[in-house]
Amino acid sequence: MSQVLGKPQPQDEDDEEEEEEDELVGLADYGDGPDSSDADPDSGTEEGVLDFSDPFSTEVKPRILLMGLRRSGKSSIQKVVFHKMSPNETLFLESTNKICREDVSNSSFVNFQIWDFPGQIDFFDPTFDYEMIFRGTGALIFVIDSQDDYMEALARLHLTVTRAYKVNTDINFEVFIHKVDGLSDDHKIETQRDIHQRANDDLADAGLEKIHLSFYLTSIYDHSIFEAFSKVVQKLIPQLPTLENLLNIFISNSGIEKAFLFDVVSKIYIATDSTPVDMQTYELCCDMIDVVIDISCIYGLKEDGAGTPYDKESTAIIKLNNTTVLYLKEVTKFLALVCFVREESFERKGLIDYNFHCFRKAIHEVFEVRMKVVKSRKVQNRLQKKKGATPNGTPRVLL
Amino acid sequence: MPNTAMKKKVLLMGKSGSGKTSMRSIIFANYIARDTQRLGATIDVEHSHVRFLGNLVLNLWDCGGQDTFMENYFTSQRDNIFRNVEVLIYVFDVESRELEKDMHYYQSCLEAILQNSPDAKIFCLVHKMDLVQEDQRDLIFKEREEDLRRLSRPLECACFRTSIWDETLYKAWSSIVYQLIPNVQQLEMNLRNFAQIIEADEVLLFERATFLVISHYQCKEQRDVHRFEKISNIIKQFKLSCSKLAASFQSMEVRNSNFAAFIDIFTSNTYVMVVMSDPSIPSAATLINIRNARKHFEKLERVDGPKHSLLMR
Ligand SMILES: Nc1nc2c(ncn2[C@@H]2O[C@H](COP(=O)(O)OP(=O)(O)OP(=O)(O)O)[C@@H](O)[C@H]2O)c(=O)[nH]1
Ligand SMILES: Nc1nc2c(ncn2[C@@H]2O[C@H](COP(=O)(O)OP(=O)(O)OP(=O)(O)O)[C@@H](O)[C@H]2O)c(=O)[nH]1
Ligand SMILES: [Mg+2]
Ligand SMILES: [Mg+2]
Repeated sequence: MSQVLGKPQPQDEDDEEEEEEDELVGLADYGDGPDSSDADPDSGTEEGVLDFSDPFSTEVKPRILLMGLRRSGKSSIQKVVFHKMSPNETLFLESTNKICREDVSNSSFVNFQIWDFPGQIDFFDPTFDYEMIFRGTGALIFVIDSQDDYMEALARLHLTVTRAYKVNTDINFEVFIHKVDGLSDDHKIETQRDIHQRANDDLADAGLEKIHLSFYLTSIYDHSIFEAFSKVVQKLIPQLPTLENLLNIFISNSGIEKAFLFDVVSKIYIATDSTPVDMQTYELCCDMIDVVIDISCIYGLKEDGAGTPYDKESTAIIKLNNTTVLYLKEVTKFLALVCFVREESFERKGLIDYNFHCFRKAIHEVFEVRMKVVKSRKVQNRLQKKKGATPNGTPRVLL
Repeated sequence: MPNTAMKKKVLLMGKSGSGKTSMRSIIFANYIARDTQRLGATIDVEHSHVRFLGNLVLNLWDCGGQDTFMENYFTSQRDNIFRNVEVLIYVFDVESRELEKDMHYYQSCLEAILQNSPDAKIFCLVHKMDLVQEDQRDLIFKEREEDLRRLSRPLECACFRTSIWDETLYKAWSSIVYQLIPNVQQLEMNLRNFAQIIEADEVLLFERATFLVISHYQCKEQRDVHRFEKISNIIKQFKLSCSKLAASFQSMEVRNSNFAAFIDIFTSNTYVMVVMSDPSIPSAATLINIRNARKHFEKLERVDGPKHSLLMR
């Protein structure tokens, strides 16, 4: 789905092209209420995809920008998180020379665009319309190669952030201190402290203390990149408090220790209950999703290879020797719930399943409310025919 | 050969840097691929004893491949190295620039084997295939395989393409250890009975520590011919993830609308995987069947067990 973006040019009436064109040009109207591009019945929405944008205002998909110096690792991050590329394959990636725009709304639950930038962009190039780009941006991820001298990167960060802020004060600025797999633990902390300090000093010197930067230590060789991306994405979900609340209710009534709502494709967690997240727990959940999808790809497709590995009946139970049970269940086409349960609580699986049934229904209602809004604003009868996110009402029967 | 049934000598040879220590560390010592980048060259021979299936001990000789060591193996250490070899695994770096020399050493090795252990089984691994462009892999491997077969005569060799970065390594090593398991036919027959009784589509038996597939029975055609090594790789990776939490993995059940798979501890040396596609059979029934079969397979393993386990420790 990735497209290379040049300068916006008038296109003829092709549906998809038209949307893109509207998006680019129409961004000038961002915030001025619905424009013509809204009228396009996004197929993703029919599938129960949750938009990040507030349903009552505009419908433009927020974008996440990946910026940073050449070879800092931007394309690698995008490929590893969204295309399941294995980290060692990124060695063969070629340098990006145009902005690559990718829509992630149809492959996964999360609905946004990722724009992967070339390392060297020139803010003074008149053909580079950065104002237009920043105006529709939800998050700007700036990637710094921690294994390299980062002084130039810091200067670039400062320039980029200040430019972007002038255009759009609502952007979340996320700094990935990247490739930390090459650093010792002490060195990591020291690097983060140093970068944090210098970046904020630069902003203070420019009188821009009000710009908030968030920092993350990341590497494509472990789960840190998925965790960082999860946090970036969560900030863009207006429904987050609702989801968290539902998770809290669910776990406290079911004797569950911890629960994550995962986007299965990207392994980003969309939400979790309000108990603290322990990195290792999160990693194990990611690995569980991999195992479940991989095994389902082998045995869970039809004879002719049709069907999907992840479907309505997808479930998994993994037992560890320390009385922990990992329990995964399908929530929507794109989402899975992964829970940590003590063995003794798992004995009441009937209760858990009943509560899960209620939880699932509530999640589907969150969608439906949104979809009703969409429906009333969009092409009504087209959506009416589709069952979309109708909850599958039958709870699993227990022995 | 009454006594060799339990201790089996396996030689790992090949030029320095070809990946011998890497592969044995991944298969037998729970390394992940990335960890092997820190390995140094092996000095002389590193011996390790790997207990496999309880009553079988693999005596791995990881022979450092630098020239000076190699020369020694063929001269002063010749008898010591090449005597009583059950399996020779020769590892070739597919990207090696010194093909001639690699082949020369390989042939010297075969000569010594022919003299000292003429019954040894020979495996050639064309390794680091990940470094070859994907569309070239079949072709290059075919070429190498032909060359190796020809050069090995009158001995037979089995060739595998491998890489530590994917499941091919498991395929090669499963085939290797399969050659070494003493009562493998009996095991297979019992596995078949078990699969038929419980109406499974497929049953796999894994060695518990390595997760190599040591036996399988298939009742229904499956699409993916590489599935055994893939499953080994998938489960082994997951097992390593669990160990980061100081936990170990015991059992798993995965299903969707087309299948249900159960992986569980089986005997004290094995894990079993049962794949079902009949949705009318409840999980609990399959789990009970697995539990009941356990005792039976446990006995099977012990048939020629006691005298060996005495010898072992
Ligand atoms: N050690 C390590 N290397 C990484 C990591 N992420 C990316 N790399 C490597 O960094 C190099 C550059 O990665 P790219 O993703 O092409 O970098 P980029 O920022 O997209 O570069 P441009 O497109 O030229 O701007 C590749 O060789 C990657 O393998 C990481 O987390 N750790
Ligand atoms: N790309 C790639 N690299 C590999 C593979 N297997 C091993 N390596 C790398 O090759 C290097 C050398 O591996 P070793 O296992 O130490 O080689 P060795 O055969 O034991 O070498 P000696 O002990 O000197 O005989 C390490 O950096 C490994 O990471 C592979 O399948 N693909
Ligand atoms: Mg790039
Ligand atoms: Mg070595």
